[in-house]
Amino acid sequence: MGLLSLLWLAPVVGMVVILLAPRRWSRAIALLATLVSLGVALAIGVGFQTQSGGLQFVERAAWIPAFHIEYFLGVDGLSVALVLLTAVISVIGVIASWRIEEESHRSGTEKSYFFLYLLLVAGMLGFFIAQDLILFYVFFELTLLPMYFLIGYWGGPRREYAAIKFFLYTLFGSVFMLVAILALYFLSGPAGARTFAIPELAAKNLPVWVLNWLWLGFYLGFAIKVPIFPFHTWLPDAHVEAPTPISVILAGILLKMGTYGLARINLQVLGDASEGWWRFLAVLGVVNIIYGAFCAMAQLDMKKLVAYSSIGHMGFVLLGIAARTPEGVNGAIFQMVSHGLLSGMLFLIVGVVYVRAHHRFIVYPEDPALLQLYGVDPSKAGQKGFGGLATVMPVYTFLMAVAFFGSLGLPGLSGFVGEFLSLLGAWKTYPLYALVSVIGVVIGAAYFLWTIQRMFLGQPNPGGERLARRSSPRAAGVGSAGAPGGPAWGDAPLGAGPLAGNGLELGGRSGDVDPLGDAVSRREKPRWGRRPVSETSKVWRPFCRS
Amino acid sequence: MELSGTLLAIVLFAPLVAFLIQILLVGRWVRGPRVAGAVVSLLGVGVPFFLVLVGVVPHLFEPTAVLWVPQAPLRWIDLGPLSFQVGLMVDNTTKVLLFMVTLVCLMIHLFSVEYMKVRDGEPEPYYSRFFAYLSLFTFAMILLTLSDNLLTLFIGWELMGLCSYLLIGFYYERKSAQDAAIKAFLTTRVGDVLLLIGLAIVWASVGSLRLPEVAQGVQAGAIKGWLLTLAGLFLFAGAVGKSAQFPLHTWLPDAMEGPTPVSALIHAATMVAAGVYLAARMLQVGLFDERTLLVVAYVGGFTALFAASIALVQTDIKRVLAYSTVSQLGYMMLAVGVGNYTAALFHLLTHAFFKACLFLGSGSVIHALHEAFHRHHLHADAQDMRNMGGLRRRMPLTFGTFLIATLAISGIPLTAGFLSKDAILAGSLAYVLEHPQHLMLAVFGFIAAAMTAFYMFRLVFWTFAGTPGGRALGPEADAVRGALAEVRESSWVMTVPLAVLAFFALWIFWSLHPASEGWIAEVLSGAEGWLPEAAHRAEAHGHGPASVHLWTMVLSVGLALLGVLVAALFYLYRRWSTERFAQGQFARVLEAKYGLDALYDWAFVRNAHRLSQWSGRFDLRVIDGAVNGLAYLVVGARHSFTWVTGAIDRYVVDGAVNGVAWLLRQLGAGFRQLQTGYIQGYLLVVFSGLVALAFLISAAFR
Repeated sequence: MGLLSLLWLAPVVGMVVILLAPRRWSRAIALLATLVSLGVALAIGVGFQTQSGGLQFVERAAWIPAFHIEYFLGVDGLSVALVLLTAVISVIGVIASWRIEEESHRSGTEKSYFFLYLLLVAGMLGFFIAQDLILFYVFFELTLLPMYFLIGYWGGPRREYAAIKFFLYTLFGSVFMLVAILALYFLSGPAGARTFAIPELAAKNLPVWVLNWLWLGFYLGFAIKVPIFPFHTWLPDAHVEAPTPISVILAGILLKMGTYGLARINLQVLGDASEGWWRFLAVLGVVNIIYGAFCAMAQLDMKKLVAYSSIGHMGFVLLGIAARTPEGVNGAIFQMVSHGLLSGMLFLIVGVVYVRAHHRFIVYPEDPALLQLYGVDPSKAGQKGFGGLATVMPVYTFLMAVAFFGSLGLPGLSGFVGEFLSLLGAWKTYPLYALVSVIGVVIGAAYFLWTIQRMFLGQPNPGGERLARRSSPRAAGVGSAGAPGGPAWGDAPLGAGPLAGNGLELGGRSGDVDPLGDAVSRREKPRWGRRPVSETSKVWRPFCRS
Repeated sequence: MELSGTLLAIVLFAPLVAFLIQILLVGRWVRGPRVAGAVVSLLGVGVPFFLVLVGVVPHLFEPTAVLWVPQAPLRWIDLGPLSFQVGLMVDNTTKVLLFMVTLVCLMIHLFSVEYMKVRDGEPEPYYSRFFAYLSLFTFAMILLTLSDNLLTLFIGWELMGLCSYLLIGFYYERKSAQDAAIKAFLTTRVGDVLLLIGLAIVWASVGSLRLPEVAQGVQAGAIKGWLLTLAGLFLFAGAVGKSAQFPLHTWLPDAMEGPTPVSALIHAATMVAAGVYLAARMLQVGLFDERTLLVVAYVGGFTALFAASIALVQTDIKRVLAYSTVSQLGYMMLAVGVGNYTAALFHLLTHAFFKACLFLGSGSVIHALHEAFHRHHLHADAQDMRNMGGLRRRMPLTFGTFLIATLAISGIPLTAGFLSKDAILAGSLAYVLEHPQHLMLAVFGFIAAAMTAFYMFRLVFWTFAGTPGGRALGPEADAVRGALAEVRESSWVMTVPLAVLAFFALWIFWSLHPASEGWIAEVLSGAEGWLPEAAHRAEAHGHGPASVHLWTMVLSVGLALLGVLVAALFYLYRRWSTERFAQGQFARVLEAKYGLDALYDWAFVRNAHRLSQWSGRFDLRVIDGAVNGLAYLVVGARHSFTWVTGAIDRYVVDGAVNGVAWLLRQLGAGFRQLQTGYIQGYLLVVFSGLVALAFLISAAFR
């Protein structure tokens, strides 16, 4: 068994062990399994020959010979980047899930949570290394099921709606993709010489009109996943309702499956499709950038803002891929990795305030239904949700600033490299679109700075001092760690990637920190250095604590 | 000392190390006295200054440029055949700029040690953080200066923007400071993204962003015609944003919300001058063609006049200086535009010294007033010149150095400002003689010169002359007068930097002859070793005949003296009154800054918010509404379907039809599965569909 099989089988083994082991071991097993995958991914990254093109670490065996379906794994520069990203984010996700039971009020569900989590990880890792279309499709669909349950069971108030929307929407798109896959198979040659292998399909010369139809089929599948305007509305809902670690996975990796697919299939296999399609993709990239930025600016919920900013940032990936220049494609890959890390960090940052304050509203919405849904006191409508966090939580603020400035493309942090290269590449092919897209860059800076102003600057809200002062340095330190650095790597070096950390400590402290504004529920919980509140002591509570 | 790569690397990275030490260690794990942070930062800029002094300055008159690219070219972003190589470069321009940057930074760091100690009577809580930001800024500015390529230049450029944002918003509890910080970042960002497009054009045409290669590429004709103009205009747009030129100048006066040393360092001496530096470099490598240069000249000339006119009516001491900075940067752009980059860089250098001196001088005054007002529990504005007056006796050192710098900015002989401003005006006059249709360029310059002298001496008379608090208004006026009588001169930590900077505002350092440019022109216009020969053609513009110089001198000095005289008649001797002017329409227009701030606020800020609200609603109602609507339609269809089957079941059913109805109902139930969220159902559908499809297609293609 090669490294690549080990990579995706490690989480599968973890799943089996979780089923057999006691419940309280689940998270440790999940951590171990993802760490093994990370180790394997690092080994692949180190062993990867950057100078030679083509697939490496290839594993190939017949799977269903009757239909020429193969178990065919391999990585090239594009895959390696995303495999490493996935492995890193998976580990972070487990750590962020450490207290998932308390945070989502689902006690005794660790086992199923981490089981599904590992299934998700296996699907994602497999997807990025599959070189056979059926395998590719199976892994693509494999991620749907665990994601559906992870959102639908451990999520927020509207979790069921969001989960079904996510599931059906993605399924809808993948049906078109499946048709295209089968068509590609049957058109790949006379009976007996047909294949599902991606590298071999890429070498075929198909007529342009065929390519065009296939392009559309794959496009619909991936466009919903990315998501590309106008198929993007599942994303804000899914992000907002998903628990923090799942939002991290969703934004960090799942969205990249769409753009990876566009690069892998639409560009590599169907690259000779009509120019019109690429122009179309570039236009939608620009729309994503600008529309995503404007929508993000309008959001009152911080998590929704981050979700819309993801839509905007994926636009640069689309623009880079559509440009089909070395700068553009590399910029797109870089942007995928960079956004994976940055958006993960952003969601963790949102998660920190949510765990402590039990709400995420930059400004409380006016809509009474929405307020009721999130259990907010209706008298707060239209008021500021947070203020002066920089005074209360300085270290957290620093980490937030790293993530925000990275996202708005400040040189020295990773967001810049992706945007810069994508723009450079796009200028060569579509100068006008490149020019228009910079509007989104300015608006992107505007909403991030505006958010900083409204949440972090100024005077703390009444009661805000209680929020975090005492625990902030430690808690925010684990909350997310920014690590800009510049190791050159492969064809798309990591210029600087803030690596997200997690909220392990935070989860543990969620119960004992007074909420900033209003508590949805005040749970009594054992805390470090204090006697647990047992059943008997409840009698005395009136004297202990008001 | 040898001018080596190691030396340059230390010069470059020392402030960065200082920044990292401060941000990671000081105050968190290392507990020490409060000045520890300041000491780290002082070392972070002191070491580079010392190294520049012993390692770079002695090489000033060696014409060759030193290019330092690491042994294996440092390929930062490596795309196989295409890669972005980065390295450091030291030519004559860089040498003098390095000297200026490190010296001014050092002086301002020193000044801040005292200035930043107290905030509203309490010890400054973020003392160390302030110095950390200053160190990061120093690093970014040195990076920009030393870069041999446009990529790292742009990185330094943006990092400076970040520091500017952080330091303008340093007093982040204040709404006005927050707003000003955002305004500064976003306004310059507009220029920056256009600059990015400019870089994309250069990269796409020349295939490199290294300055020597770009110069060669441009000369070989890799980029020409309108594309060259377009590239030049985009690159210039970046400079317009950073150097606060019209129409992107509105952020700089607001940036005065930051602490005064920040205004001196970032918003007067270094960062805002980076735009001029970029423009001069672009002129050197040939990316600015005739058309672009004309735009540069007009934007610069117009800004010089425009900003000077607003400065005439300001009452906040720092805002006067801010508009004066915009105006002086306009002069430099004018010089670049007429092809005289030597004069532009010369003025950049002298301006850095005397404007830093002016800002620090005003800082010294503000600091003293703040303390006095605080002691008397007054809420009077310590930056309003109406609350000043008669300070020359109370603060003689500040007054003396301030006066020297004021003479320099006004272009009075025996100052550095006279030399450099004269060079610019002579250049523009020579240009106008060659191209009479562009007469306005010279007119802008000369009128602005008179205005500069006027508003600067107005400032000096209001602040230092007259009786203390003579112009104070409001209920606290008497108390202000009392407080002013107790104002004391600042400590040596603040006056030494003033004295050093004032020395460089005098002519003697720049030239022994008080009316000719001296060594600096020789150094700046010396052949840059890395440029192709023909690139020096641009320089030919700069030097008109000697008679032009003479006329310029007579005109500019005459106009400056006229400005001083008028200011004296208005404000010192009070022969004339400004009342009628102050009540006129024109004064109102000037006080509203020609309405541009309000216009931008409406056109961009509010409309952006409106557009975002609209997008948000559109997304929620139209797009998401369509998705949900579609879902309801499907669900509804299913319901009606089952209703129909139900009706059939009830009314039409007979024994014979029973079977059909049953079948339909089963179908309905089957469809219902689609919506129930049972995964098995979905997977079943998917895979059975897959199999069916496979058979269908294989049959079709057989």
